[in-house]
Amino acid sequence: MVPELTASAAERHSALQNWVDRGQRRMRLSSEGEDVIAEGWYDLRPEMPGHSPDAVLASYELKIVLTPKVERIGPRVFETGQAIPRCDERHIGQDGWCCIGVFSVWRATAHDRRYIAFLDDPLRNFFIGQFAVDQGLEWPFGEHHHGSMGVIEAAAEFLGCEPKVRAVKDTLRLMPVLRARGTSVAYRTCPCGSRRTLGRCCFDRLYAQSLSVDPVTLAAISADVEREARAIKGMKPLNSGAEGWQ
Amino acid sequence: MMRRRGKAMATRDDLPVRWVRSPLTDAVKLLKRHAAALHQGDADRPISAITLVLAGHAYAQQDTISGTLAGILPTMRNFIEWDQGVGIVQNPGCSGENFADKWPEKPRKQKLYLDWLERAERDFMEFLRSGDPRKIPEGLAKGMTTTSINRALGISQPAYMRSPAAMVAAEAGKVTAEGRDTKPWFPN
Repeated sequence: MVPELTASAAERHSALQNWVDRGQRRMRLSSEGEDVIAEGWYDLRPEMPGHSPDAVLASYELKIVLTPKVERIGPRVFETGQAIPRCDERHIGQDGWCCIGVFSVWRATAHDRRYIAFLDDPLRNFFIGQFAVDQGLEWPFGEHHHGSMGVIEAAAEFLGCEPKVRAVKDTLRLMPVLRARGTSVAYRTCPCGSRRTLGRCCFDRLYAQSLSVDPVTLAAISADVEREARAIKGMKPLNSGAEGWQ
Repeated sequence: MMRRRGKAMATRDDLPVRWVRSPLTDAVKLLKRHAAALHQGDADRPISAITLVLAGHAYAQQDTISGTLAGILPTMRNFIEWDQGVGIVQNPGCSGENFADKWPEKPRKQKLYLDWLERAERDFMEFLRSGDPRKIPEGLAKGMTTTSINRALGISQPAYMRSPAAMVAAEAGKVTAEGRDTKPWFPN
């Protein structure tokens, strides 16, 4: 069960204001009901040496929404300038919703795991990708499959197992056990699909991972995977991804 | 040139030392382009003879064009002599000849020259300080291509800054190399 984490409006406002002050000063903060919102121009800045400090690769009109559930679902980002085609290939929904990445899996791997850090690397990477596609290039960091399989794939990449529902679920179930019992479960079959025992296969990597991921993040990934696994089975089809995810 | 028995004869001497190409020559050429581009068609525009003389006085044997510009621009004005508010720029090769002899009768010429000198100093120093090949001074950008200016000033533009596609590929490469890459996704 994923604990229902909520962030106060004051805390969200402060986090978003700090993010704006760090380099996105063309965005303005406001509130809509319980949501804290930043709207305006997002400047995609280069990091390579040789550029002047105020250099900008491209700018996009965005609306960033921090709901009270931001700790669980991450910031919601919408492209409002209509500068990018609304289609699956561009990872933008009809309402402009930007499918930046799988928040729970990103959080498990990120150096900075605060939800506001999702607006640093993942958001920047997303618009580097958009700019690259505009230049006729491929998505520079690859793409996850659309829909439920994308979530399974993201979780599998993180866990280092096969991108199959069974393998991902088995590995996720193993994590808390590994964390609690360590080497005493090394006799179990490795979930990576090698058919060897854990001790002779992925034990070191998975044990280290089980210690580094906090239980709340792990529970969030598990919940996401369970939800998508049900969708894949057709037990509970999803209506709108945007509504369901962010 | 001499005439002997109705035929034209020419003598050939060694080139004067001043004709040897030096960073000063190229720096003055850039300054002349800058002034010409900013005051195109203006009869009172800064004249290159004055720039050449002042730059020659200010030159301290720097061995690069950018070093020469950085050295001469802040000090060129110090070599203008003043007589009751009117500038005098003596021809070093011919004493008594004043290249700024029109300034007393046309004060606008003097004003334009001094304003341009200030502008050139600001533009070039900012350009050289930033090291950003895309921040070319407005005057230069009108008269020369980016490549020529960068070549003249010895500023090499990294390959990744030559096109938007190269820039974005370089940025993506940096992100990947640092392990900060993330993938987009799309829900059903």
